[in-house]
Amino acid sequence: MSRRPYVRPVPRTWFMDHPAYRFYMLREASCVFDGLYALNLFYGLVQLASGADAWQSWLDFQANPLMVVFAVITFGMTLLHSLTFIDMAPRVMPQQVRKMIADSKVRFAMRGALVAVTVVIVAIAIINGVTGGAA
Amino acid sequence: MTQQTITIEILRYNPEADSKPTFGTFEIPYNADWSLLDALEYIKDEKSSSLAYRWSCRMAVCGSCGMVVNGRPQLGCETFLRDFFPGKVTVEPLKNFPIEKDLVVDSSSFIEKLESVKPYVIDAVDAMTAARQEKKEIACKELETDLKVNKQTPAELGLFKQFSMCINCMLCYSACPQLGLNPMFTGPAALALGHRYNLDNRDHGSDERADVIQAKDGVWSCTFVGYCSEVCPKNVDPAAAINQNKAQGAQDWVFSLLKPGKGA
Repeated sequence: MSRRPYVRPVPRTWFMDHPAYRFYMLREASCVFDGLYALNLFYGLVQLASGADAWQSWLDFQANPLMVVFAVITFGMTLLHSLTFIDMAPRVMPQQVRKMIADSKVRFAMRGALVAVTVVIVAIAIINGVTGGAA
Repeated sequence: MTQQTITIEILRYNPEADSKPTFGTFEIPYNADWSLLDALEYIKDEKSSSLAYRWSCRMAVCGSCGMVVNGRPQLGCETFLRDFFPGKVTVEPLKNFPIEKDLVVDSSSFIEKLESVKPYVIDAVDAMTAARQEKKEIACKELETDLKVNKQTPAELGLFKQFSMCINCMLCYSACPQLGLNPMFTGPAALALGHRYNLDNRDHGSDERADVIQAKDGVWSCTFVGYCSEVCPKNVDPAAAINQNKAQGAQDWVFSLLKPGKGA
């Protein structure tokens, strides 16, 4: 009897092999969209500083159908990013803390905070939009 | 009425004859009560006596019969044919381990990793001896005050009990894609067990374990894929154990910068 252990190679496309891996890659890819969107916003800020014409050209650029599609995808990816983050965050907290507060309560509080912060920001944007137009 | 049958596909590998593993197909009688382990026993008795697989307790306690069933790492003893019938069942050995023969893998790398995290209570005396050998006088002074009888309250036990339920079945190692990419990664079960002893109030070995746990091939090779915790038959949640150590390691690193006496 001789030993001849066989080592199976890991295929380059290992991340397509299983639903759990595919979801993991989607979760990780969500930050790419958020990163690109942050660059886009930064570019907008630069254009805003360079004058009214530059700012208007950036606004027109945002109205491009491709940019609208990109914004919609980024919104979905950001939701996925934050919800998976909230799902995992309590498990990373020190075990001593986890024994005091149930993971489900931490998740509930984090989701609530996410909704509250979003509502406040959107409300400020809408109020500013209305009064800004009047002023 | 004729007996219903179910198809079982098994990745076979005979080290003395095969250059690489190939699937063997078996048509066996379907019995709703049968676990996959029962089916493998039937195949070994009636179809192919050379079939090699590991098993022992048949009740999800020993951790011997880990295998990949239709792509998911599972214990053969708690996988039931009725959950797949009339579909076929595809059985492969655990991923990320060399195949010894058929469903038997070489788990020696796992045993070495398990040993490397020192999975036992290192008491204050042991830790002091180790610290003296490394001439860490400050650590010795701290430990001298801790030389007392080891008591443990239910709350202190509850802190780590979840991480002590591991049966070393290696399903998490099969589930982890990072292990496939980096075979040197210490891996979920071993790191979770190290965490279990670090959380034990009787233990004083966290400094000794940090060399392995906080290493590049320790917790920092994990990217929180999280599938290890999904396949764990004992709800150990090794992904949580590993990532709690990252937070702890980052905190220790910051403190080590603030305390020059202790050294980085």
